Amino acid sequence: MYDKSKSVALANLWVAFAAFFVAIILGLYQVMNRSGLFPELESHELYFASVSTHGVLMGFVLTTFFIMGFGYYTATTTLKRPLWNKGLAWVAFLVALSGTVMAAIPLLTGKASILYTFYPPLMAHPMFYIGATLLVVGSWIWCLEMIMSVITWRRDNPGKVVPLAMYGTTANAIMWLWTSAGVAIEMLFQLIPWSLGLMDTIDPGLARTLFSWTLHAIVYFWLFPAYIAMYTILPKMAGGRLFSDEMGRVAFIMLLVLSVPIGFHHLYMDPQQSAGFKFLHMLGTFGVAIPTLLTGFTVLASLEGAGRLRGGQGLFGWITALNWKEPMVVAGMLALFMLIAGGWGGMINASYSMNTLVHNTQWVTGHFHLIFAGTTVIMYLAVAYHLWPKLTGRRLASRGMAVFQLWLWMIGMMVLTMPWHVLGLLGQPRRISSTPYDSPLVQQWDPHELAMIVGGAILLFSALLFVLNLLMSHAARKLDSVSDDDWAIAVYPPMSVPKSMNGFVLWNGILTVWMIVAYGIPIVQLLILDAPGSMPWGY
Amino acid sequence: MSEMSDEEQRRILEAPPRGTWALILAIGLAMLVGWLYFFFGLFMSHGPVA
Repeated sequence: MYDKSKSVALANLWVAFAAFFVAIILGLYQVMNRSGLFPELESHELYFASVSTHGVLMGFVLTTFFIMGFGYYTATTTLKRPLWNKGLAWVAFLVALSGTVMAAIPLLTGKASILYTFYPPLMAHPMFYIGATLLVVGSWIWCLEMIMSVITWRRDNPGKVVPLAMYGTTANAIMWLWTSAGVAIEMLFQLIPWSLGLMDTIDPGLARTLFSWTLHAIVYFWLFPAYIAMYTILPKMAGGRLFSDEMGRVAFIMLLVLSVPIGFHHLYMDPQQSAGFKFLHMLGTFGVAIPTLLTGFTVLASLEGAGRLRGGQGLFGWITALNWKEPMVVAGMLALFMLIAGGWGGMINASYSMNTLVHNTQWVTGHFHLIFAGTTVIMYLAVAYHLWPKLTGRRLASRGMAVFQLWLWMIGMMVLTMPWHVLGLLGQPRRISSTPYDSPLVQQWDPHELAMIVGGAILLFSALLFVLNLLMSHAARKLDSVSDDDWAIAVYPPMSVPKSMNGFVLWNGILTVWMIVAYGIPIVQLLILDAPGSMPWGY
Repeated sequence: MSEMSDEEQRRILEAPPRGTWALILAIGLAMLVGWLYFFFGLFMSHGPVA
């Protein structure tokens, strides 16, 4: 027996889901305010404070704490040894938690209503920036913990293949160190000194460039654990095997290398970067669709095997033969469904010239909610259902309610986001608090605005069921024994893999070169070129 | 599953995933058609910027 650090994992997961629940309540308020159908609710100040809090809680707090908690469980149970430094894991938790509390104070008092992208010239109270930075610092300690856990394991197990779940977790930790550097530079050299009054001016172009360095790959930081669960938990819970371990490694490597140097697709309409670099980033953006396609294929193939083992016949009979009473199976299939819809929308956004069709419209909000709140979060919920008995030693209060809740989550997400896509095509801007106009254009929006409220209400109900299920599980019957060896086995378990698929040295080298080209040159240009009216070095 | 022999289980797991190929191809095709509709039907039909 060894220490599996379950208490630190559980603490992280509870902070994550508490943030999730608060953010959902805010979300329902926001769609009601935004629709204009409830004039008594309308408040621009409250709306933007709420949107900022919702975005930070979902995008930074839920994700970071969930990833940390799931990572600790993954590290201890796949490597079958204690964490490299358990005390440090608690330090990471406390640093991230104190950062969250620090950021929450200005957010809740309306002094940080700058949305979760915090683009200047919008300025927040310095406490918000410092708190957000501490949250990131906490996550960096987690990265160190994951990387050192694998390094020491490999030192003690020479020649052995790093378990796929831990390989993916380490890839995510490395990718996060790479990608969070952009926002860290922005915070330390621009936003914090500026908000403290140490600088009079700020270069929004440079700030947006630095944030774009973080902004896209952060989505993959969130998505990584969902993919890890799809590869390494879902096949076993479905009653089958993983179709290919190597395919998972290739997908994780591609996500690490391709997801960081592509952030300029968020800047297609920005004037400070040239068309050539935007085109380069667009190519990478389409490239990052490949690991997602690999994942979709491998996970579906694994499920097909599981379905056929359960008697599924014909080309698609395996789908109905799957165990639809297993929360992980339900979540996996619904996550893939939402990934297809959201991924396709992403292809529209990523297409350089066609981006003008949907740029800064409600379409974009629909797209990222499908990918994040749909695909990613539904897998987080399923992972929680999977882990809770293992972490608490008690049964899950209700598996039936869990399955019902996951279906509700998907339905609510589709009812919420499909109207947003339509609204975007009908020209509705995304960052607005209300639509107090009376033109024929705005009247076209009304039915879709009503639908999004229904979607928001379904999601809130679903989230309530989720939190209730977890809470009730703490009082459920104790389990006689808990298995922590529920990781999927591949059809052909790898006895050995090439060095490059068991480590990250080569991929870090490639990423370094790519980052110098994709971000180094554009940033240096911003700093040294004597463009008319520019501020040298971003000041 | 429990009634299957190990050999039968292995045969199923090692079989090419025909259903997955069909599903992926159908989804890929639908995505391509959708993209083409957006590009030519919605985007290009706007015409040049006046």
